Amino acid sequence: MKYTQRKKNVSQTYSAEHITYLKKQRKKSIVITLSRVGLLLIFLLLWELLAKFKVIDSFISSSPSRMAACFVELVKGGELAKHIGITLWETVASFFIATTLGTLIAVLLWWFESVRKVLEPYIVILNALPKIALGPIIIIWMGTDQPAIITMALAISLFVTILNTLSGFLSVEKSKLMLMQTLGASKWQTLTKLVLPSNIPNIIDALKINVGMCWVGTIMGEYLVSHAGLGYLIIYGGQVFKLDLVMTSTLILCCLAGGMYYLVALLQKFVSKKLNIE
Amino acid sequence: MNTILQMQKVCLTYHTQKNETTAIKDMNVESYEGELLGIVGPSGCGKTTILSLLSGILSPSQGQVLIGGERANPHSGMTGYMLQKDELLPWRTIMSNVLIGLEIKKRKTPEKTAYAEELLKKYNLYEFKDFYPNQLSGGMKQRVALIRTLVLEPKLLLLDEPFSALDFQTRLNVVEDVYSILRSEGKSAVFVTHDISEAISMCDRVIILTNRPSTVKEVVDLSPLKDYTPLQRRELPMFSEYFDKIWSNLQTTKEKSNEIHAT
Repeated sequence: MKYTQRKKNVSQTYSAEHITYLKKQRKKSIVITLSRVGLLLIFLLLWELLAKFKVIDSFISSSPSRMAACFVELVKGGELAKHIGITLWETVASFFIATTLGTLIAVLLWWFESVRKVLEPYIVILNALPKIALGPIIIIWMGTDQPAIITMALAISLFVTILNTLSGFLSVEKSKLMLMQTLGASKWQTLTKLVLPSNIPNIIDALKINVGMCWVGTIMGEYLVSHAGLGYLIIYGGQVFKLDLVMTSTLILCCLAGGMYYLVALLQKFVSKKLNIE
Repeated sequence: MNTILQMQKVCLTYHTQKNETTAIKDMNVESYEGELLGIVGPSGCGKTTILSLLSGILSPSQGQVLIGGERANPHSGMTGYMLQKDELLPWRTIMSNVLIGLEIKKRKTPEKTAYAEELLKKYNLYEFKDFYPNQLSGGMKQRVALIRTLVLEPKLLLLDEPFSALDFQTRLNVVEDVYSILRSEGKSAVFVTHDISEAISMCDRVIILTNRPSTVKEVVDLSPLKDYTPLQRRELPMFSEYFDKIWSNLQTTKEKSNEIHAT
């Protein structure tokens, strides 16, 4: 690997000016990280103090210490793992189904132009429809259990996936398609050698959007029908006015959604490096 | 000399919702094995269309296009098309880009791979075979694109302004390279361009086209230049004579079209 070697040689001969520049950049990024953590700590501290000195009513606003107590209680009761597991399973399942099915449908619509032209307005309308309106239909058709929740999450994420992926497939450079034509490529070869590989960044972007969409769908589904899960904890907490439970569950949800997004971002980094995409 | 290419009374009409356009009318062209045939014409006269016809991507509305005596067909492997830009796929290494045509035609054998390596070595690209296209210069990428075409061992190469995306310096060098590659591999080629001096520096014969619907206006024989390389040709006194001849021919076609617009 001559190329990387050359890069290394350059790094050995950094000028003093460049080293000061690098130090400055490093300092900047440390300051930013510290500020991020600091902001959270200050927020929690302020919240705790305001609640403690009764400036805000901790019955309706809860407080970090009450949330911590609630968290410990949930863990001790063995309930938390169950609720997290259920919600996570629903989200991950709908995420995989939406991504696979959405990409597959996009491929079919790319392949069959006339089918695409016929179905396009329907997909656009279904995409524009506020999916929560489908709630009653979903409950009646799918029952009041996990299938209904996953259906809800799918309803929210599937059409976006199809539309985003398809528009990526259709915007492959004309001149690259011409290259495939001149080489005598079949439609299948054009798909596997050009359209899919050139759309991998696109598909990963769709994954990022899907993570968010599937969380929205799952929690919405749990609000509608569930007997367990984080969405259920939140709605139950709200009904019995246990704000500690509501806040704690919401915070856990934040961490999970963030974590899952981070995983997809990691995947993106890995794939981009592997496929030499900037 | 064997005929490699024949266009007999070829017409091509494009149809759109609004109207139909005759791009090419009654075109007769012949080319011989080992010849570098240039095609110049005013912009928009359908030069790329001619190459699409020769490669068999498009079928003529009337007349016929024969390559090596057979009807043009993109699956025959008779022609190799080199596009305006290199069109290398950024996620494939140089070697894998060179082999894509063989993969598609399901002709990727150890012998062919060895041939690809040999070509890369011959044209000083072998040490870059595991690099990605974005690590190479424009001129190098264009040479890779040519090798991608040559690996398929086409009888006739179709070059569509293959240097237009390069800057002038690189361009002169790449023209020189491509010329010597084509000569040393003994290939026949059809070279389409709007750059007169490039046509004179590369070709054995140049065909001048009229405006749309385009047909052959004039054929200029450049065989006296045959023993010179592109850069040498540019130094010759004959070069500017040929240039003037082709240029004035193109001018008259332009004036005519202006008259038509005026009336």
